[in-house]
Amino acid sequence: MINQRMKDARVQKGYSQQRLADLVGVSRQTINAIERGDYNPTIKLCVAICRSLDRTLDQLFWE
Amino acid sequence: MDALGLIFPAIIVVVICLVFIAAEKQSARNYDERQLAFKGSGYKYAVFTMAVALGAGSLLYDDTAPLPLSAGDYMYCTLALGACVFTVYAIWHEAYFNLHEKHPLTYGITATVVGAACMFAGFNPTNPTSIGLAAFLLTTGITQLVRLALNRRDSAADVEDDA
Repeated sequence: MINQRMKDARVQKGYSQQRLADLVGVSRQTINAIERGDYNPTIKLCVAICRSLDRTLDQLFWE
Repeated sequence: MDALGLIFPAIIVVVICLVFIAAEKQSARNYDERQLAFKGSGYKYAVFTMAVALGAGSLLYDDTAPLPLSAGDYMYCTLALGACVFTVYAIWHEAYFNLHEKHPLTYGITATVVGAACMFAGFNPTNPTSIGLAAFLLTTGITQLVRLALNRRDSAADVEDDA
């Protein structure tokens, strides 16, 4: 399932996938895989993404 | 076996150990959970492949049927096959080694050109080790180039979506 909320939050923040990947310390491909729904991140990475995008876990990842 | 014959493999083993140690230190600094997960799956498939190849080898190598490959060459080809399975799987799922991640196009082109050169005009076309190395380089190089082409297409779509 595509994580459109995370993608929208990233675009709103003005970040590219590479910029977000650098901020949370993973590769661009991993951010791409999460947004496409091809990979389920661990809670540690979810929290790092939420902090970088100024969102809560509920806003980005809770269904 | 003369002294040179012992020193050369020892140097190779030391170099491989140093590369693994450096890679471990690097991966500790650049931890990417998705890449590590796919690398783990890649190791699994590589081990299964080598186990099957070695099992087949144990059946093939008896005294009654002489084979074109020596047992040592067969072992080498099995190792090359396992490395090839792992590398192709890792590249395809973008769980790159550092070399691939920093210079993917350079690696793809270099591996493809060198692999093709070794395969079709190699050092010794009758030598299984040359053919194994050439096949490894050619396969991983082509996989890398195809993956890059697909990534560029996806990146273009992402840029359009972001805009």
